[in-house]
Amino acid sequence: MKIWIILALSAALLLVLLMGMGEVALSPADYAEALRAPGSLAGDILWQIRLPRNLCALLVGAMLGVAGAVAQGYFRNPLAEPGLMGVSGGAGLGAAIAIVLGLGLMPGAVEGFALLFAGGVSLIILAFVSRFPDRQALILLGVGLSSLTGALMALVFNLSPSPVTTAEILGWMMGSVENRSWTDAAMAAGGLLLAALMLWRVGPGLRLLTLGEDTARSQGVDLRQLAALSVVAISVLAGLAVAVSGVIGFVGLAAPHLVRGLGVRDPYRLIAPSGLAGGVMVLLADGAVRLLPTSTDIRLGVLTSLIGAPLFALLAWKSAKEWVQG
Amino acid sequence: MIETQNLSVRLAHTEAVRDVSLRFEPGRFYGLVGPNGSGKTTLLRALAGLVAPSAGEVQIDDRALSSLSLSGRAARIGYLPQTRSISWDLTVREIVQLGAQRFRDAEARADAALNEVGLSAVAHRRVFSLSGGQTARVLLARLLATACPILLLDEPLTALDPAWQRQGLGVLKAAAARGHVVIASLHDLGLAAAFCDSVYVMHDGRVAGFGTPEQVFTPPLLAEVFHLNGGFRASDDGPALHLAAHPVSSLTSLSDHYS
Repeated sequence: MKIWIILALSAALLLVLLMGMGEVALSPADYAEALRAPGSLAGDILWQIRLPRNLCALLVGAMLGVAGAVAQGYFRNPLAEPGLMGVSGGAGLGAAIAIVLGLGLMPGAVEGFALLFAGGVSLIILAFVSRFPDRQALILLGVGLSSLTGALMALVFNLSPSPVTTAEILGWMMGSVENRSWTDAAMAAGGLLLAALMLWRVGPGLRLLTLGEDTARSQGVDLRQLAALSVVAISVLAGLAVAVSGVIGFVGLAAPHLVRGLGVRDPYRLIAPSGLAGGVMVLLADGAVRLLPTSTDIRLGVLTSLIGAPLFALLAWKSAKEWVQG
Repeated sequence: MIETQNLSVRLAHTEAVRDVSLRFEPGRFYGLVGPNGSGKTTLLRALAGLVAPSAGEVQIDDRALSSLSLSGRAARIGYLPQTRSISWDLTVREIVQLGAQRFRDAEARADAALNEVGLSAVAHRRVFSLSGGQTARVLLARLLATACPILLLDEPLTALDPAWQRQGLGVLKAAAARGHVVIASLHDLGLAAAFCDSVYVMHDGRVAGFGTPEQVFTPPLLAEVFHLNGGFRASDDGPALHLAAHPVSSLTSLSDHYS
């Protein structure tokens, strides 16, 4: 069976299963009522709390998976991930500033600030890439921007008016899809659609980059256009993902590897299955967060990082071995 | 046909190619030889449109290369770079198909090209499982699959064993016989002499000699450009290039040689 069918079925199955998990235990009669009368209490729980949350988990995972696959394909590096360009850092900084300014409870303010800052960082990257469409230079720029947003984030903590605010920022940074609304899900879906439009035609370019930039150019690939489309798509996805759910680590790195492990090596054909794999991973992690019997809820981003970090180390180990033998 | 008029290419602060005027005709196999750093790679990249000239221009069939669109160039010029990095572990056929991706029958063309380089049997294998020499042949097949009238190759023989160096040159000669312009930078002067119809010798970014191998590889040129003693001698198979085992070590020995 085709890999994407397996992944799509897994995602659908998880989506249905997770509809049955939540703080309030629902009986079969409640489910029947929720289906019959969406405005009822059970209906509210199912359609206004659980479904948006699960959809957000799926869509955020998909955004991270797609962004990771594009980043690895464009940078021709299996260790590339969506946060590489500094956009996630920018989004995190925006959210932190919104919280420090006391806008944490205003609907959409934290997300709006996160998007605004992610957009700002993206514009810097776009201005850079239009002049220097070189992936090494872009990685350096990304390292610089990440350091800058990290430093500014430290400054926000430093100037934070109260420990409560600091804790609130930290909680948000740890990533979660709890209490997400349909607006959040729509935002994520919109981001994915936008990215799909941008990535529609990068296939031949990403594939030819496999053989290096000179070969790609000699076969008619417009490297400037490819860089702009790839980098903007990564930025939109990474920025939106942070705006919707906070920082969820390692999904963007691991999802493309999972799909590669299933036999897909083509950097373009990897993108869609990688999105599905990302969705499955975040749904699984969000399910685990709900199941883990801890007195304080483990945050989603903490869990994905806990699983992802050893995986990253393993990848680095394997790559290092290949380079040394190379 | 591809030609250059007073072409110069500046890289950072050095002029890698200086005032070079060349002309390459269809149906001929051209060897581009010269010591390390003589400007062969830069010249090939300029011919491929990958580096912009600082003066002069490249023309293809009397049209300026710079006036052609990216796809127009890609349909006319195939280029095999010196570096052989492959980022992802695709199958051999997928790699070769990349060369033919502007055609509808990319797969059939890829198979024909693989057949030409003797790798049909490994078409389904992952490219990272191949040896360096086989990988070099896969990349040569990718170039052949482009079916471009002009084929540029930067040191295509690196990593090939002696038998396949000859086979590879045979493939290129056959491509020239089919009407392609084939231009390859080569380090092995003996092979260049044996297989190329014409040879351009590069030295310090300039053309130090052009003609048939016999006209070009004269003892003075070999000594001056390559620091080698040698020249064409009669053999059972006709004239062949012979090179001394030891290089000319200094100008003193050079003058001794001619005194």
